[in-house]
Amino acid sequence: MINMTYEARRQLGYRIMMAPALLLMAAFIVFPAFYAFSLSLTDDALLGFAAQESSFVGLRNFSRLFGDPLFWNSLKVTLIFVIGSAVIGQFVLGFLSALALQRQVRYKSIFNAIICLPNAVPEMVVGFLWISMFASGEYGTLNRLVAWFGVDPQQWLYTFPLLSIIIVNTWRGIAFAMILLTSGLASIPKDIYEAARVDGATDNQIFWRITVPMMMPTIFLYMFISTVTTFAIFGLVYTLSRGGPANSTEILGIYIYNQSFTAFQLGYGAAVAVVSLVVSMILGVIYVRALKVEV
Amino acid sequence: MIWTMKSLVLLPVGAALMATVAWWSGESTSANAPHLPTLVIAEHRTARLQALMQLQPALEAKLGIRLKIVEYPAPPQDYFTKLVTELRAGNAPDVFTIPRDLQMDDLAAAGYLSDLTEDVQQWAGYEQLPELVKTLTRASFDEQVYVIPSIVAVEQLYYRHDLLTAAGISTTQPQSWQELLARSEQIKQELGQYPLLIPAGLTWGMGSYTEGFRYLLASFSNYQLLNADNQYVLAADAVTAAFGFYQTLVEQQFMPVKPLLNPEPWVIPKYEMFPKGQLLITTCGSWCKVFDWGPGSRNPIANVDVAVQTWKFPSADGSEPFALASVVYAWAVNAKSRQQTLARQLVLALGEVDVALVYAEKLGNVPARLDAANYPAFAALGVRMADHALLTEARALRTTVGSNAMMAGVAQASEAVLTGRAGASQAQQQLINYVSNVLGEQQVKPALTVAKAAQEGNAYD
Repeated sequence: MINMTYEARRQLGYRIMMAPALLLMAAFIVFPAFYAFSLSLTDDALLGFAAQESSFVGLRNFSRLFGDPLFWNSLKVTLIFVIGSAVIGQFVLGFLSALALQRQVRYKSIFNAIICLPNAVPEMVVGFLWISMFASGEYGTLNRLVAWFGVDPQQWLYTFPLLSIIIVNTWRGIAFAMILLTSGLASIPKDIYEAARVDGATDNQIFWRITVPMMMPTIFLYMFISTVTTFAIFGLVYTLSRGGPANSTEILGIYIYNQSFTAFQLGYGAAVAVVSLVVSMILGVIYVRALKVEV
Repeated sequence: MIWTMKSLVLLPVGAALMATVAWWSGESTSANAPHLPTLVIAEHRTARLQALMQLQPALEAKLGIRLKIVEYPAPPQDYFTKLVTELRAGNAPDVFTIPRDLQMDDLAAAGYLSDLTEDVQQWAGYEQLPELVKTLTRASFDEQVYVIPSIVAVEQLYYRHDLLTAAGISTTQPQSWQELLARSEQIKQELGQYPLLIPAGLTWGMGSYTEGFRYLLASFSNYQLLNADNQYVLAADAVTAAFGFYQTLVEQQFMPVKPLLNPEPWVIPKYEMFPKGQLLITTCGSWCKVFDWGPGSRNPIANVDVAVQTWKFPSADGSEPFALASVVYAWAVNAKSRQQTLARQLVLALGEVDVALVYAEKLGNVPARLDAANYPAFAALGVRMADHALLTEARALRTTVGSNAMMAGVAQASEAVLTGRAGASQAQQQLINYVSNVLGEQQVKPALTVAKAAQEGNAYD
């Protein structure tokens, strides 16, 4: 230790400080991922003889998975859900909110609070709240609203199931997008805008040629985080629709739950979870590497 | 800064206060209670909890124990999932119920249940059980007894007698599927309402089998779901015909399909349409006139005992119409319970008639034991006394390990029929494929082809 150079001691210090975080990540992220993979190679179950003594089945769960139309449906639904709510809904509305907050507006703090409130409510509570909104029959909140325009009561979660859960997740996620994008906007030096204005740039030109390009790292960071977290959503959709009707909202999280804790097939459920992890990682790599954005 | 300082002072003081209160309340509780062994018992749903709390003092006094009742989630699927995960984790209660008899084999095979065979041999109550009920308490793979039955659901067709009579439509017992379908056609033509509900689809979960598909399979008196080797017989004509019956209901628009695709598919047809007379016939059990549409329910039907009456389910092969019986909420002992002797005594006490009558009254089923009819409180069951009398002749389809997969397969395949994605033979093939995938091909008899696959579209009519 005494013979170490200053640089070496500094590096060692960094590693020691990182050790607790790395240990926690190893215990709660890396180990469960490897455990899930090992589980996916077995016929382990919560019920039946396999619950007492599971057997190694190789890649049988994966071959079953790729031939399972419900899995492909689930993957498709998940991608639509992620693109609809995280990539389009939350991002567009979050960006608009962040831009609006850059301006001098009255009651800015109230506006801020309204946007942030949905994020403060637990996922399951949001689900129940929107069940009340979407409830069929004349007493559903949304049905009461549309009744003012002469529209008959609708079964929203049946007629527009995927759109409904996209709207709810968008509503819930705007705050996170707004906060992250606001910090991105704040990091753009003001003198660049002033120089552009002196050169006669319009608001439109400033937005597309300065704001958006300089926001790209933040935007892709947001896209990365929101895509991965939306991929992992479960409680919100489970509360709202449980994956129905007719599997139309069965995102991967619900599918994994149904296989593991409704059909009680842990091995198969783990195989779906592993594939879900791989898909998330591929999307992450696309964001971080293929788009050449430093995060 | 002032607030920060305040917080720094208040937080530890608050925490200390809460710890003191918690310690004091814990002390006072244990100080008041005598040193009795404690058994943890799982219970769920308001009516069942009320029944157990009513019985608790007598049970505690009889066995010299303290009962700790732990409330579990109300929906049967959520209850079962929580129970199974706790059993696997090794932290489940000492005593619990199994919602349906066909879930017992899977739990027993997993090693979660104590073998009660020797206990029932010394228990007088066992001889009072109908043979069918006795069979349903034994696991198919080793014929050992793993549960103590308390109440039984007798399941039939429930129909709106008041509305059919008012419309001049016959209310005599339909003898065959054809007769039931003809009656349905008449109802549709004359009342313009949906005539018949037989549960199906993914979101109804295991109910698609227990409250739907099972009736159709049992309509064939010679059909057994299991063969002698305990394999599921899914390629039989009875299975094709059962899916064909669903196909007919869908194609003829006899059944409300859209509500069955909702997250809680039973709510609209059973709790809204049937009480309003928008649905005239449905499968249901002896709980329905109490729990679903009784005076104390959320969807009461006026004078329900007269307005709603029952038909046995008609057969498909010329045999007599029949009622189904299911052992519901039978008591089981956790194999990992550290107090095996007491837990076994407790489940035997829970199998007594006086306990069953309290549950039956609150929940709406009938006692499993035949000698219940000799008890004065039996009369309180009212019209359900007739259901109890059916116990000796009712039918049931025995299942084995993997029933959960079989039921999930039925839910998937029947949903394919509901949504028009599959005809009867395709749905049957889907069921066979699913069960074979999950349980292995050796669990399904015979092989993976359906002999009648070429006859696609052979809806039953």
